[in-house]
Amino acid sequence: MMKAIAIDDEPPALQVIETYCSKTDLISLEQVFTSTAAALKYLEEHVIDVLFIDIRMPNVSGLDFYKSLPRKMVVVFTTAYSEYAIEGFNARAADFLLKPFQYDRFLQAVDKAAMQVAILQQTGIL
Amino acid sequence: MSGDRRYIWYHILGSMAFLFVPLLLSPRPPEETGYFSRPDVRDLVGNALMLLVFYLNYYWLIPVMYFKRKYALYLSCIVLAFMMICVLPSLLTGYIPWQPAPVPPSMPDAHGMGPMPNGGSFPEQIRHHIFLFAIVILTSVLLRIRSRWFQAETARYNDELTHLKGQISPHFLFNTLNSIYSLVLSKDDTAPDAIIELSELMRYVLRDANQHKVPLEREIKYITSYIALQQARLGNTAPIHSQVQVGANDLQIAPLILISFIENAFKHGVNPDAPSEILINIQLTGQQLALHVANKKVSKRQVDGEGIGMENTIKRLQLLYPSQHQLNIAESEDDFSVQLSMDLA
Repeated sequence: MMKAIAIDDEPPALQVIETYCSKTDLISLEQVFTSTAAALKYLEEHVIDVLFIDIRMPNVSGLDFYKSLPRKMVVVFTTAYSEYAIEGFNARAADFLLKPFQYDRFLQAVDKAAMQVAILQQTGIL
Repeated sequence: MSGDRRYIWYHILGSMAFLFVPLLLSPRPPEETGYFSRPDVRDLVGNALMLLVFYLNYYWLIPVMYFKRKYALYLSCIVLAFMMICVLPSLLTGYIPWQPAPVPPSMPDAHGMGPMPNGGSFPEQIRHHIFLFAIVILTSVLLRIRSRWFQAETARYNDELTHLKGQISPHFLFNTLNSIYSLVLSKDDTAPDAIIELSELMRYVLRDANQHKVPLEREIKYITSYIALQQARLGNTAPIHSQVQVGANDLQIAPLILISFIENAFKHGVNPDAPSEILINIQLTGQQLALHVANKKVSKRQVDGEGIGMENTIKRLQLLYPSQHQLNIAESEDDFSVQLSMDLA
């Protein structure tokens, strides 16, 4: 099972991801964060496979946050704005979820993330 | 209404001054005995015609000819008006301009002077009137262009506003939909209320806000809906202290004039990584509406023209409530606060 965390400045958005993750055995959501600083601190101490992150956040953009991470991990961007999609894929995102998204669409993103995790594990990066 | 009436008085007083002040100041030739001398009466008639030309130019010639680029026609009318002003006053007071002025018998033409100063000859009349006439024409042109500019400016902001009103901030809309989705997903009992709040808000922005003025109650309802939805979105990441004290009233207000200050607070004042306190206070005392919004400047997110924008609202306030509002914006490195008071009489 893949380990994941989710970051979003809006609690209801995190609640959606929590609900979805509790429905599937593919992924275990370790923790959720509204604060990017707290998330960074957590990531320094824990290894996770997948990061769900909002793009438009007040402290730092999700794109910049992901690019600045020292350790490699698979990312799924979540945002209400489609205009970030290209940038998101440029950052080698596994998927891009447009809020609000349904459970099926979420599972699809989890599948894509699992595929990337598998590749990264094979090549020894993860 | 009272404003219109005041303007009429300005016009009447201005016209009176224009007609009679020169009369009171002009030297009286010693040989004239009547209350008004003949040149005085002639100048009075001349000035009355000037006034007529002023208003004719302002209300008819400029809009009908000058603004429609019929410059030759406009110029002919102006020249014609000038001729009229030079000739008509003399004719009406008994001079015949194209005949040499009668030389007063008591004063023979000994010093080689032509017709008397203030005399009735035609070139003399032209010299006498041309400067005043030019000033009258230029003033009316200037005033007309100024009022047209003001109208154009108002229309431009109204256009801009209609455009902006049509689009509720997409970021706010989708995130709100997402938070409602989240409520529904977790079978939260407040989900139906949130949908009602959102639809009230959409109805107001899309339909009611196209009117020139709306009931104050509706604008306030919109703001409280907006705050409630923001509260739901932000959860406990930002403490929002809002207090709205607006009793029953039948006052009207220009729509969406308060919201941009509140939107602004949420735009810049919320960050889960920093203390994000937002204070909103709306109070109605008599016909005085006071709005106080304060927030910390904590968001580093770039702001891309969301919502109506404060600048636009400030210009609207200047146009719609020129002397009936007072706006104080205080900004420091960490804090931002807006204090607006409006007279809604």
